[in-house]
Amino acid sequence: MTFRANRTMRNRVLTVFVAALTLFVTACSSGGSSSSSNAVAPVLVNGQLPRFDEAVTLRVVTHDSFAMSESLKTEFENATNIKVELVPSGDAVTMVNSSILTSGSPNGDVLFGIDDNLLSRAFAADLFVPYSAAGLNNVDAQFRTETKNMVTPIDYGDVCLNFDRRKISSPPMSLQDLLSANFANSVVVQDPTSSTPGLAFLLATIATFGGGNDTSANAAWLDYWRDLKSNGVKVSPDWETAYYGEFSGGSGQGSYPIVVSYASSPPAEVADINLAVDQAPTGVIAASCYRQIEYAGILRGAKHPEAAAAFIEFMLQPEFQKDVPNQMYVYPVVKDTPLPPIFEKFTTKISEPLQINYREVEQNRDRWLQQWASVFR
Amino acid sequence: MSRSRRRFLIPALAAAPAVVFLLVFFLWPVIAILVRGFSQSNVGESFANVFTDPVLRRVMQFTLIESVLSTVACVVLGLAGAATFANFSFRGKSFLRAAIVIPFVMPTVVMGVAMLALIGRDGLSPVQFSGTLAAIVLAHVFFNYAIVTQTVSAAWSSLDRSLIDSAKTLGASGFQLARSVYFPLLRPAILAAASLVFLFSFTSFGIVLILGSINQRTIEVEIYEQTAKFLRLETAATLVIVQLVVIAAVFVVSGYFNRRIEQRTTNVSVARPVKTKGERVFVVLNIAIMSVVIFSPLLVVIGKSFSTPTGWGWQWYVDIFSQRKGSTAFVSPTDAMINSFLYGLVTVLLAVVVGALAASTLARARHGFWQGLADVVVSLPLGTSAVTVGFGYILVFSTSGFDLRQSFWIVPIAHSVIAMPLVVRIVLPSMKRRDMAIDDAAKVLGATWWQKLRHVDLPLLRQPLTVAAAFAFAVSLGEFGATAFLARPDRPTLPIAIYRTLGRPGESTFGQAMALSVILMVFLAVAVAVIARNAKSSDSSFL
Repeated sequence: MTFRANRTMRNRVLTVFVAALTLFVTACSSGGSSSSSNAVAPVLVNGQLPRFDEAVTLRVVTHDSFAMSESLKTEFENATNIKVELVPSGDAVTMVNSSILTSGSPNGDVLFGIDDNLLSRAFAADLFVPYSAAGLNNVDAQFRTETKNMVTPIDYGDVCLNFDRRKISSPPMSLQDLLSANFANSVVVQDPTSSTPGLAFLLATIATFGGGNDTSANAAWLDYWRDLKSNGVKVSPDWETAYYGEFSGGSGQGSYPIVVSYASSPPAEVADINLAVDQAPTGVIAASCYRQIEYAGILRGAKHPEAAAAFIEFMLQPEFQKDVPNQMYVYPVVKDTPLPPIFEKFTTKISEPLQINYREVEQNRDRWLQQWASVFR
Repeated sequence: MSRSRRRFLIPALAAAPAVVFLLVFFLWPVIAILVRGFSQSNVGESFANVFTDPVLRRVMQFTLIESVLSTVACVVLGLAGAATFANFSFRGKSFLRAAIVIPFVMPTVVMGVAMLALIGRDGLSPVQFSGTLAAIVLAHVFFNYAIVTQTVSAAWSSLDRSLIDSAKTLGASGFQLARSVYFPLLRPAILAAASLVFLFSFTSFGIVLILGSINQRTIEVEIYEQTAKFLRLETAATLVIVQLVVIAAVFVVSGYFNRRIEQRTTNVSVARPVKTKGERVFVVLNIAIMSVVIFSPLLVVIGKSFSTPTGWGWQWYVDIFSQRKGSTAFVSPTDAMINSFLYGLVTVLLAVVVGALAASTLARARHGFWQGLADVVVSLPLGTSAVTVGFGYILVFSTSGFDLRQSFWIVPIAHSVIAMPLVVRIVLPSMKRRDMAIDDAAKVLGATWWQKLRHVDLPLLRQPLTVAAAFAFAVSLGEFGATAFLARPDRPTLPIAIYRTLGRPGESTFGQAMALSVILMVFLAVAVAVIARNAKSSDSSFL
């Protein structure tokens, strides 16, 4: 008797759970997915942002480092009747990968912060619908990568070696110089498999020393890393640990005087703008800089593609472009945008940054990382 | 309703919320991501590939070695700490007990940077060994020490004294007493704590990256990179299963040795002042261990939070309220505190109620096999990487028809899924040891279930429930991996505020991250003290 009672109960409980689960699954799969891959039509009206008759909420998928002035956001919202909701989704790589996972039924309308190295992957997953931004005409030609209008360039940054002026009086002038005995046990980099600036620095070495097509263990750039290793390079997992934990110039914590960071990091270390330029606590090694452009794109399946297009146009307008350095420590792509004084004074101009075409990066990235790992793991 | 039927029905109902919870908020998302991972591949082939890859094999070996060593070190040191807390009363004890929980919530990056300042190259400590296995083991002791001391000392102070007194009367030596009385009685608590420490060390992520060398990577690190960085869901899914199998095996084994022990529990504190010189040395030694392993990294953080270019001061604490104001990235520290508090409160309620109900079913289960199985299933969320759960949530909860990601509740629900296994494991040993004679007495005397709950069950379980609530709150307060995926941007928690701050360069930024970390520490210490006080324990120095 007991046995039978137990079994009935168990079955009943099981039935309820299965029913509940089925309900959830159906609720999920029936979610709308408008799979129009058509381009979004231009939204500017006589060069002005459009105003929506009915209020809409625009969800902007970003990486965690996204920031803009609160006042600019309000200005945009008041002008267009679009409420902006930010959806921070981890670092750039995690953001793009989690978006690929839900490609077609996205977690927002527009995505900001995808960089060159991730473009091919996103295009292969059909993540975006094309939009030809009117504001693109004002963008400096060097940032207009051929992307079939799938994404629009918004800002750029250079990943560069930074050095601690208190510890290094004559900094290395090239990547090759890092191999000298003067800089033994002095350099900390990030693991390129886990860190975005780490990957950029790896690409910088490939762009400098060549051998990117060499699949053997004797690729020229790989020899460089072997020498770097025997000269005592330290590999940290992420930018935070490298910059705050191991680098001596960040906050006087660590013991390594050279670190992979950004061209915009030195201005951040300057507490007083009246300081002489050569007195800034940290400096940049210009020959090591690798350029990354950040783009925005309208997500396929977006609920409000027109509002998304309006936001992209807004990001190319002078107010937003001027706001970019102070908020995100990157530089504007629109020609002749003035920089804030502290950036104007303490930024090293990088006239010839290292770069590798994004298609080439996508084709070879995994192999390069494996080759790199064979030296370090 | 027949008696036999009711005997089954009540435990089944008690376990139902936990089952629903695990099915919907854990198994479904995880299975969805595993199915996606294996969708275009042969499962057997995926496993063969993983086990023949030399790099992945080394990763698996290292994970096993590192977690076994960490568990041994943590249990040995933690048992000594538990003995100190359970047997002796001394000044500052309640402070000490609250303070050792703090590492449990501290953001990995912050503690990693603090430990580098101690044991990294040119660090403050006389020995520098970052980049070694020893550094990783030490860090795991730092994070998990409180699990052992709190779990074991709670069981220790509710031991049946009559057994110990009888053994003493019968002339048992110290060693005999330990081997034949203390160890068997404390075994459930020790095994529960040890399996948790093993699990946390096995699935350790950030701290291994920061303190280990580049060759020292755990399976968890691989899963994270394969998922978030490469979107190679097939390899990730294989590793997720490997990890779950190992952890399940550990719980099965610990369950096998964890036979049911009939014993009465008491709530009478036996802590007394030290008498002999040997006792004094023991207590001082344990306080010294806590100071070196637990408090020195915390002190580094506190020190950095007050160290400004113009000397010691409050500058960073002022800056966190003002410096980035006007930016969308600005997080008001008061808002972050309120959010963290609300999430923590809901998590405590959800996890303790659902978890304790599930534990009551498990404690009653007659059949060891089912008990063992349920025990393992309940613990699985702890052994699954946050990125797997996070990507799973994105996959199943973010489609427009059923968008839980927009809701306030998703965060405390996710926290509860993580905290519930802890609650079950902390409460279960005491429930198993419950003196059923009191239950029968209450029934014979005609107590309703509510009266029995109010006057018998809750008072008897007060200490473990208090510890469980404190840990649930701590889990919620410190959780970052899943929160980062799920928290609405307008509701950031304290750890999210810390990570957002640390993402930018500048001396002030670093100081502000340290200041926020100190606020997090104080916040937790206050919360734990309040929970302990509300428990109205007869032993006022509890927790």
